[in-house]
Amino acid sequence: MSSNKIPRYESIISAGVILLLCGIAAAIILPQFSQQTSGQTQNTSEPAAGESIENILSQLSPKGFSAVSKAAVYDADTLYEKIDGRAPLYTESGFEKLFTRLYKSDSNEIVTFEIFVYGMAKPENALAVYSQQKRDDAEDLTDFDFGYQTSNAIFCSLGKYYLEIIGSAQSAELVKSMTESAVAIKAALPSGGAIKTEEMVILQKAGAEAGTIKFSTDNTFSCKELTNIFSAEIKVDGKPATIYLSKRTDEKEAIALADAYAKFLARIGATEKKIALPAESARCFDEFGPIEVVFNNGNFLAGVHEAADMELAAKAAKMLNEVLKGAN
Amino acid sequence: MSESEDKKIDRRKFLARGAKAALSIAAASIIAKTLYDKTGPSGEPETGLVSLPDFSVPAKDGQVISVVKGSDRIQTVDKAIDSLGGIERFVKPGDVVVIKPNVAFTTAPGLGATTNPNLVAEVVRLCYTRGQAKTVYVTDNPINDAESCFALSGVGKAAAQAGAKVILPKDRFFKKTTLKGGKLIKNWPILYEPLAKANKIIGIAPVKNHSRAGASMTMKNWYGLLGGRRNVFHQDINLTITELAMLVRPTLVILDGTEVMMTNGPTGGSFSDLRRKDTMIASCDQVAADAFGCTLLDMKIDDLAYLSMAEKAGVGKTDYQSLKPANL
Repeated sequence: MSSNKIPRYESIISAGVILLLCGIAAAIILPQFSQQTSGQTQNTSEPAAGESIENILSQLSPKGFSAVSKAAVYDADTLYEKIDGRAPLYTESGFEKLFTRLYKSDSNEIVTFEIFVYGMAKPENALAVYSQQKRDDAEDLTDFDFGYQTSNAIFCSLGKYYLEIIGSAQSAELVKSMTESAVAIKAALPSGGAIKTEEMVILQKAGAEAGTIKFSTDNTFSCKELTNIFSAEIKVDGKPATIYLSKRTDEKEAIALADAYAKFLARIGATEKKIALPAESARCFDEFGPIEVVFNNGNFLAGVHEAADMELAAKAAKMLNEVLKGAN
Repeated sequence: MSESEDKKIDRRKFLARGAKAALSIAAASIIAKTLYDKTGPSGEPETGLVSLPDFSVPAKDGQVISVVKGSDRIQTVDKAIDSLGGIERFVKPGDVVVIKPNVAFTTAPGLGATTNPNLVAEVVRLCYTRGQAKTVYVTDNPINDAESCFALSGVGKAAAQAGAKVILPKDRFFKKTTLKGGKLIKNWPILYEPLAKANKIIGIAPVKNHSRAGASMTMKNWYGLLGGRRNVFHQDINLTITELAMLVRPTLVILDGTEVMMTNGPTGGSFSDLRRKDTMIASCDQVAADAFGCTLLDMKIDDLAYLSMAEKAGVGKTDYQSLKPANL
């Protein structure tokens, strides 16, 4: 019987070949598995935040509505399958994952609403996509720092999540159910959806009107150099004005950015005006009617955008600069 | 193992090894079947390609494009088609017609992201009653799940009630095509099966803002005939739309500008994204139709690069005025 014993070297070679084959199989299977989990899948191992959103959606039970399907998940590769040409708006702004779920009315199946929870890399990214898409007829939601409703939809920026709830009809009852769902989602989020940056605090101290704070990651006011800008509406002597602010790495960067914006304004034909302004660095431009002010205070870039007249622009700049004095 | 050792093997060991070998082969076969890629690599040789016939009808001077104002889609589309010579000019007795609406999303019809279902139903009705078509198919390859899209958009039910056969895309309906002279559409799957049955094709699209392309109208509507991971085409969206218009030479296109999605397209989401323009366009020239359509979005022809690109490729005319639009 000993003559039938397999030589040791053959066993070693065989084990080596099997290991190699296992390695090849793993290299083929694992990437595919990873792609499959990023599509419309359930019961997959999402990161902790993702799991919590899926749980929130699966536990959500809007009164009078039933979920049509399980929550679906999309990543940057599959986002286009859900929103097609709108995908770049998110993927270029720190998009991570989208979670969706469709609900229909128990009493009328053509009445539906769909929840979209966009998971973004940072709260600023969520605020940016929220700001970019804010509708003109927005009616602010009192329960949210950043939230509004239209006749058929709810839109909110909740921490690092951007929430959309889209109803199929213009109905106060439907909007009420959707608002309740938005409140439930907000309450279930670990941080309660809170977002507060230094710029936002300053803008609020400067008199920002409720629900008007916006954030733009790039190409702000059509100037490509203006990145990561917060803006808000204020009232000066009852007149509306837009102020803006951005904290930069250091004063040098803030000065350079103010200069870049001034050059941009000059390049598009705006005329520089000499008026009394609150900050030594401040410059004023007449942009064919609307007035622009740009300045820096320490490492903050600040200014006034498209004010109706120079007096209003100067007063708005002063209000902002007064708050900035305490911030630096 | 040496030949002499093999000769000493007993029957039991021989059977055991045989069984092991058979198991190995079976396991390898199962793994191979699991990992088999039906679509193959993108660089595979171009074999068995299909091409689309020219579905257009002979031109008639002064009856290339018509623009009708009005809020009732049924009335405006009837008048728009009649102004071009009636549906009888486009659909002859016994014809097999494919109607290609935009059913890309799982959204309610009122949100304007998809073709209005009543409009689709009316064109189906015209094809049968006045054109005496043998069969009318309605099909699209939506971005979202096809069954849900046709159900929620209302297009599936409306088309079926009007007598059309609604074709939901299946893998076997796609065949690969290469556009002659094209740079992007090469060896790419298109929804061929319904088109192979037809001798006429009518595109019906809503006018929409599109965050990537600028606008989505009749030319962009053919995107719904593409299969595969078509999001790659968004990288060069202007050339893609141009090539789609070169690929599909339609019998007729209908552009619905009754309610136009002015912002946040192509998905929209809020009724506030829509604005009433009460305009219906019917055209044998898809470039002319879209050139007029862009004015409904408050855009200029130069704002949409694909219009002049398509004109240069000989698809149609951007100067729709030179075609003396009926009713305008």
